[in-house]
Amino acid sequence: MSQFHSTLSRREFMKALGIGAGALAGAAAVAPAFQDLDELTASAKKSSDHPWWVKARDFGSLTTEVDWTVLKGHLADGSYNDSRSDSSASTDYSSRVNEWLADGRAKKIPGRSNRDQAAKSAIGTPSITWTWPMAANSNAAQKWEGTPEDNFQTLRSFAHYCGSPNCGALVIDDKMERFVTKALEWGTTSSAYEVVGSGNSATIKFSGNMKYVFTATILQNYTHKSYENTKDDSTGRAGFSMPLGDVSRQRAYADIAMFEFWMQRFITTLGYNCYLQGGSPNGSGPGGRVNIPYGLFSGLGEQGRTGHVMSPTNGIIVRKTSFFITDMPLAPTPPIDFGGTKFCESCMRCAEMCPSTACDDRKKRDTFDAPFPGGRPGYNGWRVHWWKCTGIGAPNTCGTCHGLCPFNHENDALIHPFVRASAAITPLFNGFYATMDRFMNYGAAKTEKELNDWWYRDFKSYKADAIFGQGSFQSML
Amino acid sequence: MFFVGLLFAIVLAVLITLIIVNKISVRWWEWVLFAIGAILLLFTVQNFLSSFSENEPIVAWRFLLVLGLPALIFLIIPVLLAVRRNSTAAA
Repeated sequence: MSQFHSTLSRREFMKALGIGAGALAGAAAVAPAFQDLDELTASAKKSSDHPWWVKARDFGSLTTEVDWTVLKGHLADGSYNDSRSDSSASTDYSSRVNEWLADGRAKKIPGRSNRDQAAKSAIGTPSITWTWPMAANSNAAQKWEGTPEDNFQTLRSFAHYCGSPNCGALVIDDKMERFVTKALEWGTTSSAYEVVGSGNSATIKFSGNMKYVFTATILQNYTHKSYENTKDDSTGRAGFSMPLGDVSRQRAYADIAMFEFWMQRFITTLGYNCYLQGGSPNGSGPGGRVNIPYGLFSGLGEQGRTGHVMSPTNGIIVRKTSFFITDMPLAPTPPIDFGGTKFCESCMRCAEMCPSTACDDRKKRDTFDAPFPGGRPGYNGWRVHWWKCTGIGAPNTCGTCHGLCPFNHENDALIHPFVRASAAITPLFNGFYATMDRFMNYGAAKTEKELNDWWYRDFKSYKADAIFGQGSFQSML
Repeated sequence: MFFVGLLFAIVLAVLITLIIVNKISVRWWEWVLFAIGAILLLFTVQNFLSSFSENEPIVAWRFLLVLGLPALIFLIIPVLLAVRRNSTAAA
């Protein structure tokens, strides 16, 4: 019987040992290390479902620096959002879009034919009678009482069932108060809340107990969103949004409506008062429109180049941070750092493709001022030129930026979690990753064949449809 | 990926058996190069197949170019080195 003899000499063995030790040292250098027990406990404080490479920060401390002496909840003129847009550009743009869509209908062009446009029109937000502040269930026998941690876990678990991948919580203080409109006030009231007036002009006064905010991320379908991408060869930027892919945005708003409807009822049924932030999803009711700061301060993400919440696992395909103001005690979750904002400095994928050039193309963040109309001063971050952005019909007819973030990618291919973890550890390769994202063809416009084939896709292998009741189980192959 | 893993294990077993039976001497760095190539190849196949499930067929093919090509180089070099050295020794 033949015997195998190792050819490894003692010298070679020692060499291998040296390389092994070097590799171990390298791994130790990039692995998360805890200097003391405080760091260890801080790492456990991070909100809920983030991967191991997401670091928790101190409460109130974002990776976007805030100047609280300047930052206000409303704009200088007292309004909450600057709804003005560049009207001349808007008129020109919408007439060209309409022409493009009419052409698609007449010639049955895939992606913008009648059936594609019908799909976009059909996916609307269901008509719901909203109750912005909703009273607690008065039946004491049905009340749920737990620790703030357990209460948060209860809401988080129900929210996940209802469709949110990640949740957070924060406590209202004088800083957090700034992110809701003047219609909401905290102070002394005889009950949990008092509504003064009616309709959109109503004001609501909360008692001091109504100080907890539950936040939840609602995503847009990223895979389907990619059917929206087009390219305008004359500008090198994105063109008009393809109606077939636009469906994913409309669907997200419908999902938000159902999610918020269910969550508010869940909280009140548990025996707590709950105010569902107004102004969205159907644009009526009093209350705040800016949901992003609550997502940031409760650790659902960092602020990306587009100003949106950038999630460590889903990038800026986050359609909204839903938030609920309640008197149910909730354990707050801290802001996070996963190298997202740092990644934005090197990436530029959204800015280079923005069809209205509204997206900030400064590489680094270098001002607390608001250099463009419609922006807020008071934080050192990028800003969008809102007049240009809404001038081309955003968010209803454009969401280009949302679909281009390299952090959006699904996690099936192992390269994606690898890149995310690596970017969280060191920004050294961020530029390379962004270049590879371009080279690999992510975010490219679909061909006419691909757009047409969507209607004939293989239901058993296509993973992007959200099938009611199926959860994450795969369909039978 | 289950079948990819199974196929990989079979190929590896056959390769090691051949090395033992034919008394082929393999240097330690050739094993290292081969291991890097094998890991890279598995990584390539995983990303290739998963990109199709992510509905990104063009990305899938580019993975073959970006990761698959280096994987093949890492796999072929140690094989060529070992074959050449052993054939020289036999001669």
